[in-house]
Amino acid sequence: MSVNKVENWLFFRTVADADNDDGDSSTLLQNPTTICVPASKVIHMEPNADTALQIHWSPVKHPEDPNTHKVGYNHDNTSHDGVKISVDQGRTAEVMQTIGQAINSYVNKDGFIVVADDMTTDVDNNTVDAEYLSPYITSCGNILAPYSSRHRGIHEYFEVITPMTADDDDVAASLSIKIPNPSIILEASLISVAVASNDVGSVALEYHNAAIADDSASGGTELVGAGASGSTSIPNGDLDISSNATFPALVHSGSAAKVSRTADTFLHVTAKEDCSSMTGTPQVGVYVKWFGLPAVIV
Amino acid sequence: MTKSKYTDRFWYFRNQADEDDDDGTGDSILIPVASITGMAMTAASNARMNIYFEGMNKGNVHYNAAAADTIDGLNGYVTLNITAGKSREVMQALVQVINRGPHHDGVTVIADDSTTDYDGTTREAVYIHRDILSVQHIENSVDGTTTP
Repeated sequence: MSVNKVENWLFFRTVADADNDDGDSSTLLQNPTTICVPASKVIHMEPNADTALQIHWSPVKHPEDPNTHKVGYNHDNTSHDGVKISVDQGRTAEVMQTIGQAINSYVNKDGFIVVADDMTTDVDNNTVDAEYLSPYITSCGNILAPYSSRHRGIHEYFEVITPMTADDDDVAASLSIKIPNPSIILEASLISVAVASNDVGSVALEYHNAAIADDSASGGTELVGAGASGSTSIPNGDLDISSNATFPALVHSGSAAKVSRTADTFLHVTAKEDCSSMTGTPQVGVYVKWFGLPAVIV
Repeated sequence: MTKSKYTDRFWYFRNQADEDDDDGTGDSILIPVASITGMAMTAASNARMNIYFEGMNKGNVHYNAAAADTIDGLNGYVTLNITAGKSREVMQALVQVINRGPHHDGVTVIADDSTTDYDGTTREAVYIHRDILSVQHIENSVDGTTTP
């Protein structure tokens, strides 16, 4: 085992009474009353006023997604993880220096650094002193841990699904996500991942306003396949998943017009021949790209 | 700023009292300490805190409304029941565990609710600190199948 360095962690508490250290001070459930984060997650500090300092760190509740950050937009660009602490007027520089020094200090105790703890009444109702790393810190303000980045922007999704036996034009399989309203579908494609064990199997991709059960009549609009409006798919045909198909086979939406959706969008892989006698376990990879909100599990 | 992390240390949690029931996602979990993103008190109780760790749903950003991702986010987390009002003590104890010397095998049992072994014998539950009382919930952040 190789353990080279220890790491300092930063502690903040924004309530005066331990009885109120109850998780969240907002209705949105993104303002924890107490938080402890690794110092290595700190991104930067900056003044918010001449009496307030903001410390930002990497997201606690959701993954950092550099691709999404590049092309997406946070619903509230003030909603970055971090804390606001109050300081004496004109002392933001001194406080930043003290916190920076503490982060870089050798961990001579346990690595637990109390930056700001407003608690003055403990759980036994004893009066205790608030504790601050710097004499210029006067209180711990709002702590922010947004539950999600709620990105608006470009999204891509890929899932491998297993079409079941189905009658012609019935749904053979569905994606496990839906695209929330509104959205603009930019492109989609299908690729065979495994083929049937007999010479039966042909599918297309449709979108619809509602989920449709497998082996029920499809009700959607074809986006990828021979039935796409204007014969826009490339190649212009359905995805062959039968045993004698070229493997892997793939079909893309091609020159299909972008689809403006004003309702939730469900995606179905639909049988394009009578697949009720299909055998084996064919699998299809489904790709979709859209502009709008992140997908939701259904 | 200290950048290095313990890439070879792991924390273990289990929320099943009987080992026979430790048989699926959410029953127990082992997470690398380097993946922990933070610890925070969680809603509506001064006796419950979450330890968040980097989740597996990184490729496709999507949300599981049924699992309340809109509240707890897309990362994984373990919810611990703790003694009321002892958030600082528990967090400090956990940081101490992270930073203590390499005098063990790299795996630390933070909270194990199991009191009945697979053979039916009983034993004490294990908690790294006296103010950790039990494991309320384990969320691995995986939407969909977890079988490789």
